[in-house]
Amino acid sequence: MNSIIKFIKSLFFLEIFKGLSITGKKLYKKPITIQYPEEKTPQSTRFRGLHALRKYPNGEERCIGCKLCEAVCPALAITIDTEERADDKTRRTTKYDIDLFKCIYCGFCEEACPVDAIIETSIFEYHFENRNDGIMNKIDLLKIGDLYEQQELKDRSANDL
Amino acid sequence: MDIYINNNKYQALDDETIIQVADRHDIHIPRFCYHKRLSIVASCRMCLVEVEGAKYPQPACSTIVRDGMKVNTVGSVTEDAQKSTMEFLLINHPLDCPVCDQAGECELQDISLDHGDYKSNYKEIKRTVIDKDIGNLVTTEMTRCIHCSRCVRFGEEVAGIKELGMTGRGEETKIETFVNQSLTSELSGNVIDLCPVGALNNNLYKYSARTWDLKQISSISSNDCLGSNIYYHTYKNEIKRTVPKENEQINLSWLADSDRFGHEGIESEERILSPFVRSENKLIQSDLETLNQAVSQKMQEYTSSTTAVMSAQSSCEEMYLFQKILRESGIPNIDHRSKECDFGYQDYYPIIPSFDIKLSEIEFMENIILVNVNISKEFPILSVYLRNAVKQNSTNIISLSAYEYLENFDISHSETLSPKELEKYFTTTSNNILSNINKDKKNLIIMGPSTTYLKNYTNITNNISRYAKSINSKLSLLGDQCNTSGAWAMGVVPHRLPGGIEIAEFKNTAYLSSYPKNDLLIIYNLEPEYDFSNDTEIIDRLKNSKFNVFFSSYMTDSINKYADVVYPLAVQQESHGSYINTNKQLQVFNQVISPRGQSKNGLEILLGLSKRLGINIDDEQISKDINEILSKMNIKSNYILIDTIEMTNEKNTLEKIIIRSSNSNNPTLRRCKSLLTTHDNDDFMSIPNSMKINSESKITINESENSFKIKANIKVHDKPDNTILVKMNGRYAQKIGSYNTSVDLS
Repeated sequence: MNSIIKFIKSLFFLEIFKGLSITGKKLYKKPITIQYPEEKTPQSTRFRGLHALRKYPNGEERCIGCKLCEAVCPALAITIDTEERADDKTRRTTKYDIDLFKCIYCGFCEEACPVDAIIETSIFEYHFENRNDGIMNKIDLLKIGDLYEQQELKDRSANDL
Repeated sequence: MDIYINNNKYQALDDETIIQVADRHDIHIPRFCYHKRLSIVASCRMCLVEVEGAKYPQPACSTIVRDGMKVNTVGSVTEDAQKSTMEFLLINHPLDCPVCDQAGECELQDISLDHGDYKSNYKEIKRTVIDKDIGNLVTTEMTRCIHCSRCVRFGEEVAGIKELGMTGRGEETKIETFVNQSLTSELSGNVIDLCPVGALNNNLYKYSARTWDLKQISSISSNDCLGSNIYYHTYKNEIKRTVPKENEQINLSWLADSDRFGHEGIESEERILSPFVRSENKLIQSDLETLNQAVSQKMQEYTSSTTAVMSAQSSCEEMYLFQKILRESGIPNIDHRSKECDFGYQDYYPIIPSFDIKLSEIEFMENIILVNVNISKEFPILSVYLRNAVKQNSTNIISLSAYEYLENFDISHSETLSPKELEKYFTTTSNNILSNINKDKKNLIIMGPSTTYLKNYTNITNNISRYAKSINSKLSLLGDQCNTSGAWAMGVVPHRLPGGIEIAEFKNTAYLSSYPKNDLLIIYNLEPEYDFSNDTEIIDRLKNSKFNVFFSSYMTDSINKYADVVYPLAVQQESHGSYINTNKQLQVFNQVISPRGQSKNGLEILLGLSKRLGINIDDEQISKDINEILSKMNIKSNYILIDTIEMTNEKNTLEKIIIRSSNSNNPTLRRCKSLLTTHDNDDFMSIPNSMKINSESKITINESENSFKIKANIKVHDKPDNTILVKMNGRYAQKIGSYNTSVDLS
């Protein structure tokens, strides 16, 4: 009996039509793929991308060189040197390097920071042409911080429920 | 007696407090104001514990144990008390741990985590206090102070100078110095360790690293002959700070400022970072192989007219190898006594000059005579012991020195004596204070290192020894450098081999006495300008000799001018070795940081040179030899009894005496700027009142051939007569000529 049914099915290409019916249905639906880089998917406000160092509105850098991010970093990607700044006798960094090859983007540095200085921005598209460029220094980080300050404030207010 | 802590039975002694019993058995009780070496005030209330039967929790630090007492260090009563105390302490303490240098080792932080509450009822604003400027060594952050008063009690009880005090009451309470004064005590750095929070900080360490990054390496102090045990804290191959390593026999929990802040000089710009050789009147960089070749050739050429002087700051290993290389090359003229000028005593000198009693026994002495020493400046750790002796047993302390030194303990009688008077003082005891000293009591005479600088040291030491013998007193000889005892034991003297074996043919020779002029001078870790009893003479010799070899860590003018070969020597912290301290203990120290530039451990350099000279010896053999020497050594008392001596004739010439500046006593210390500006900046010249010289006028000192214009703060003194005293910070002052000489003033 089974062999008869199988014979009839194969005679009339039933399975092919069944499969093609799905193709036919999808042909007229909106596609879910997007045309990157012209089009982009929405991003979480908590996205952990490229790092940046923030400043206060008056231009003063936030980082106080407490080295908590260095201590908490599981990949040992952060290197900091500090000294006493001559004018106001506060501890400031003379070196703040993040090795992006080591970084695993866990966001612990951001969590550990007592003054919200180090953040992971929404930037996820970047590349290096030299191996050395993978190590971000303080100047780079502060520059990114300047560029993305407004975005960061927006993301933060969105996170405040 | 037995007491119960947390239902366990523990042995306790009479008059002990709960916290002492608990500490002995490793039961944790949180505390701030209690410190085992300071008095008890019970002001912080952190150590409150439940005592069964008592209505309220009791402070463990001040509650004396009773037989059968039941104490609970855990449980709701104790924990509630701890939580409330912690909340009170945090009312005014800023929560700025990320900024604070103490974070990570802060007692307040730890105790708050273990015993505090997570919330506070206090919502009002916190108190702020203005920081005080108390000198270059200790910085303040007074808002963080929790008024435990440890620093105040330390000043009163241990350092002996009440420098920090508590003013005001309640919320107005402040820790401050008396009207903007800075800390001057040589033990002032200890308040940094004592402070449980970040209110008093180490200025050299400030903001340069975090506590959890530091690596701790134990070592031995290289600045005084007591051999304090220390920990260096390093980060990225740099010494960040120094803290005491507890040693009940030497430095207790304390550290002298010269040890604590004495690492600043290592990073000096004057460090010699590569080997140098003179070519066409200029020092040019070279390599050790070339240097060894040149030196070994010259050593063979000028065997009979070579003088080698070595610093007593070198390790025993370096000393042993140094004398071995020279003696095997036929050069007997080796010495470490660069600051001395009278060597008549040397054949009678003990094999190892030492302190003769344990430091802990000082407390039980009844009479102590200090000769030419300023204990609280030169040996701050020793002053803690002497102070304790005065406090506990009202020891009678007599000070006989050329200058009226200030001490941090009570002196019952002090006398200012010129060297000549000092010599006679011990022979004519019937008409002075020494006649009161009973020979049946426990007596101790401490001779300071500056006595050895004197022109009549032989006579002084002989007279003192004879007197000491007559009153059954112990005689303690304090070394000028950290390894002076080792230098004697290792044979860095012309007349003795290692182990104190006398060489008869070199009786009465000292490093400069044998030849009117040298062809080869080897100077090991000494700076001609500052480390010789007569700097003009040694510089003259350098000028006239044919070849000068320097082993040095730092470049000075004279090295730059006269050296033909300069070996880059690593400093003590960069090398390993051992020192014999004044109690005859051999203490080993490890390498803390790697040598700067191409500089090398002295032992390594000397091993290279010995290889070149065909002397077959290695590291292991040296330490084996040293241990053998020390085990065979037969040490007698320190008495220096000389059979025939000539008394110094009584011409009334004016004598110049240099006051020893202990904070610039070795090349590294001379480059510690913060230390020198705080503790060694009191340059002065003191002239006898009778000379009636207008203190405004410029003074020129005329020595045998040279004259020195001295620009200094001029003081006058009544006694001693015919003596001018000069105190010059060894590093930054102008030339001061020889240590002890006859002079003219104009």
